[in-house]
Parts: sequence; C-alpha cells; structure tokens
Amino acid sequence: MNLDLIDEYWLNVNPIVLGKGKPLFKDLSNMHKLKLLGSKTYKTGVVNLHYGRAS
Amino acid sequence: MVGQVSNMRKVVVSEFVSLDGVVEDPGGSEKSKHGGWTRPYWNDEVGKFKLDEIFATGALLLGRVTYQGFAAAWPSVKDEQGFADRMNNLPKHVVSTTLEKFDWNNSTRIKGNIPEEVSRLKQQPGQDILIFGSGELVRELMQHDLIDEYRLLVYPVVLGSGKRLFGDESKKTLKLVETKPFSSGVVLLRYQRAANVVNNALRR
Repeated sequence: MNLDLIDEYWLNVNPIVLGKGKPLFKDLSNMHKLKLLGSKTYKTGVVNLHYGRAS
Repeated sequence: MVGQVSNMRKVVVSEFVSLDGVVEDPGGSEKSKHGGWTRPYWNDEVGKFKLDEIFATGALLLGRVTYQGFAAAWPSVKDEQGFADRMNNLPKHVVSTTLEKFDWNNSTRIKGNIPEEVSRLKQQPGQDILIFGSGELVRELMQHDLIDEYRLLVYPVVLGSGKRLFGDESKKTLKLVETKPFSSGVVLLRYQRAANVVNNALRR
C-alpha cells in the first residue's frame, strides 16, 4: 500500500469484535481513498466488501 | 415476556468508521490530522439515513469529549429538515467525572455508577437512546453488555492513524441485521447483540 501497488481489495468482514490481534492496515505512511465496487451479504453474517482504487 | 422485552429502550451506537476502524474527527471540528474524512462522501442518501435516525431517537448518551464538541457546534446550527433542532431539543445524558458545566439545552450529567444509570435509562419509556462518537463510553458499556445495536457507516477510506472505536477489551460476537451500500461508496453495517432476546429474558 505504501508503494501504491494494490489495485483491489476483497474484505470479508466477520460479525465479531476481537479487540486485539494484528490488524490488516497498519504502519501506513498515507491515507488511501478507495472506491466501493460491490458488496455482498452472506447468511452467516459475513459481509464481503470489494474496493478498487479511487480514480 | 416478548412484550416486556420489546418495551426496553435500545442503546444504539451510531458511528462513522473508516475501513481501518478509525472513528476520530469524522466531521473535522477537532482539527485532527485526517479530520473531515467523511465530507467527500456526504450525499442525500446518507443525509436521509441520519435524519431518519435522529427522529427515531428519544435521547442522546454522550461521553465528555463528544459532548463538548457537539455543545460548541450544534446550538448555532439551523437546517431545513430540522436535524439541528432535533439535536438541540433531545435530552442529552452526559458521562463525565470532570466537566462541571452542561450548558447545551436539555443536558443532564450521569454521575455515580454508569452501568446502573444506563440500565435505569433503558427502563424508562421512550424512543431509543443513541450514542454518537464517545469511544471511551462505548467501550465501557460494551464490557457491561449494555449496547443493543451498532450502526456503522463504513467509509471507503483507509486513514492509517487515529482513534479507533474498539479497544483491547472489546471482544464481542454480534449479529448482522442489515447491510446497505450507498452510492457514494459508504456501506451501512447494522449489528445487534447476538441472542438479544435471550439476553434480555435472562436479565429479568
């Protein structure tokens, strides 16, 4: 991300708050604006969020 | 029994959240590094969601930091839809051990045992009790299992730094009850306490 080499993100958000553990986004030198490309909700409560680069 | 459960007012946490879980200064009034990060994504859909939400709310429950920010801003705001009037008129319950002045219209201080006082508020008749911001208060109430619903407006931005909503002690399994994408790229994720009815029934 710091090298701006990622084009898309597929994030499966699970319905649980852990409080601790290694987060995905950490030690970033800049903020990153993304574009929501789609979202899908599964019966289990998982939400898939699909992002690309903001043009 | 079911009727009794539904009579309890819900405590609802409503937050603007970045993709990396940051909730600090979404509107920019605190002048923080990334302050104002929600602004590019504001549109009529988000506005309508917030308007419907505030009119379905019977009281605000706020921590000291959020209260002071709101109290400085809202009294001078006017808008056609009546959002600001509603904010200014709603009863505000404020949790603080240090603040002495509560000048914003209809504000009361919550003193003493916070979980007990919030439980008491939940027993009173009326519409839901809404928490905006107030991260420290949210984390404390989570530990006492006093939060019934979370409305997270997830913004399509990774901030990289700033205060997050959930802390080390915030472990909680939730139940997803609604997902709603807005055209600006914001996604509403609405969660409720898992086994809500069971928990409420057990408490009686």
